[in-house]
Amino acid sequence: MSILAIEDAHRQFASGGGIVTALDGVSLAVDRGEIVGLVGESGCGKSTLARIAAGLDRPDDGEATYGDRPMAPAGRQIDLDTRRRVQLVFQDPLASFNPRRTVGRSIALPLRLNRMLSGGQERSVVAGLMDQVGLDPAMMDRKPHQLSGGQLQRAAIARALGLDPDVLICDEPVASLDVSVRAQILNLLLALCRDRNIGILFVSHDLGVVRRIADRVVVMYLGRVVEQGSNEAVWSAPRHPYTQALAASVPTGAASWRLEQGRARLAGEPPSPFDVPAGCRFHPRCPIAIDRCRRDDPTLRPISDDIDAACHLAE
Amino acid sequence: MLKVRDLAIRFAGRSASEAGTLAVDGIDLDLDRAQVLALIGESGSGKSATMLALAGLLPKSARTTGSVLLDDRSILHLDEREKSTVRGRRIGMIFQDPGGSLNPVLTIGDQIDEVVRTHHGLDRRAARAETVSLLSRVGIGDPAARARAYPHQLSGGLKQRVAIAAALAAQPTVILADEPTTALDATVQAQILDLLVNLVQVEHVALLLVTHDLAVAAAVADRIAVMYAGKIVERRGPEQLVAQPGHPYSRALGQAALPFVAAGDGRHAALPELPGRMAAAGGTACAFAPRCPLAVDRCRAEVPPVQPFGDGEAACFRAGETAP
Repeated sequence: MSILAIEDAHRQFASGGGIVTALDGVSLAVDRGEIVGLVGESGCGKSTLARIAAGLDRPDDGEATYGDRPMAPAGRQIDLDTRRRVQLVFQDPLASFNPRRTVGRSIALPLRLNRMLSGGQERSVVAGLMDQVGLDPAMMDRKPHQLSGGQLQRAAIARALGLDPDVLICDEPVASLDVSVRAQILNLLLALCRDRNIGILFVSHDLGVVRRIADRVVVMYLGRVVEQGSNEAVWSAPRHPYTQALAASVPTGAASWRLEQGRARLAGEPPSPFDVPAGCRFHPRCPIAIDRCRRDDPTLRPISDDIDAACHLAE
Repeated sequence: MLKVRDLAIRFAGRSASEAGTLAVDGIDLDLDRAQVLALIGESGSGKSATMLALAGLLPKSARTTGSVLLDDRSILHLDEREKSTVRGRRIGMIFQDPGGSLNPVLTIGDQIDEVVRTHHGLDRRAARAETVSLLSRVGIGDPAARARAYPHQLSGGLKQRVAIAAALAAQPTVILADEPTTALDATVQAQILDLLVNLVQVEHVALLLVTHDLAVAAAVADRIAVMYAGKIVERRGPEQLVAQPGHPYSRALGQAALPFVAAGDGRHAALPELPGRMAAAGGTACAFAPRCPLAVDRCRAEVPPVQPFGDGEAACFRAGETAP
């Protein structure tokens, strides 16, 4: 059974006099020891979904559950034990640390708040956590600005691991790191998944990274899941025209990428969630849309054993 | 047309007695019209300092030596007034954050009109016509209406198109682009890269693209220069650089760029890592040697000279070899 599940989540925000529909009936599940890649353009709702998965926000309708417990019961605070089981790692490690607190104190803080530390243990527990993420414990007395981006992202992962989570929600965790550091952080996440059976929801706009590390992929477009399935199935033979365009947009370094200019390239801008098109929400940018697509809203349906897509024409 | 010779850049230390930090350690670059040259490397490689030097945007405390010629005229040590005629008119610039280069309280049309009027001496109406034409050339639909929009009303991709139109407004001979697609979605990145390649051909400008992403560089560049610790360590055509890198650092960058293929070696298998950190520029040995799987004694004793390799050149005693 999935350790983290979101069922038919809807979420709207009031913004600038209008209503933005960030999520319009989205379901998602993460198992232990599994990496789920969540991809889509800016504004597709992936960060809202990640916040709901982490219990930082609650859906207007639908539910998020951890095991058999609700993540964010209506009208009540999430209970501390559930909260500590699902931890977050953000894009910018410098912004996720208090600049005036030492890195060691920041790593220890959630442990103290959860009463998981008794007096005198702090330094040895923090040193143990830093060691687990490949960080020299001698750095615990430094301030965040004295660490490199990669070191600080390791510290953020150490802080999350202290609470012994079952699930990590990683929102663009390597987007601000240099390419050689990126592989080191990804390998750390892969090892946590492999060795500690932690489930990871990996939110990223970097499709190359997702393709290399994920077990399953969920593709979002304008508040909906338009395709999901095994990592291999989704990228080797994408069924939804949007996923096909996403895959074609990744620069491959091959000369053929240039020659393919315009072929499967997506025209237009990522759409505004203020103004969702009728029918299939992808139809204004879709190269193969037919009349039915302008009229009927397709639902997510199984196309094969390991792939679901929300497209009338997918087969 | 753009000719850089033995360019070195040193940032001042905190006091006069400190030597300061060498960022760029004697590089050469050549760029012609209708060509794309990509400069790639990680933080600290010197690629951004190089671009700032070409743009005349280095802080006053930076010391530069060597020469930068644009159409046989030196542009490295100009006074502020001379600089402002070169910048904009001869050299256009595009940055990673398109919002940062646009004025939030002016419509995008007013901002481009100003450049057009300054550089072409047009009246208000003629300037707006030129602005609308520029917006149309960078692929903005309904350009006359878009010209009346403010930057915050546009998406990131549209803002980057506007920034490109503004960079083109003065009809520059060279465009310097610093990570122009890093902040954009994959689909929009592909559109902007297509647009840049197209503009280079249609408008006949030269493009210097600074990026950390080998795949992006290989997708658009005619030539790629790889920087490490202030030096250019390899210079090749894109196909050969990707397929047969000469320098071990280029090979490592290629592996780290994660080609868009399945891992192929099993679930949750580790990715190739490049251990260690970049060395400071200006050493007396190969700066990459401490991280290099191929390093031998000679690499730790001498700076490897630039030598012909494949369709370009590489600065490595063991160029083209692979680790066992």
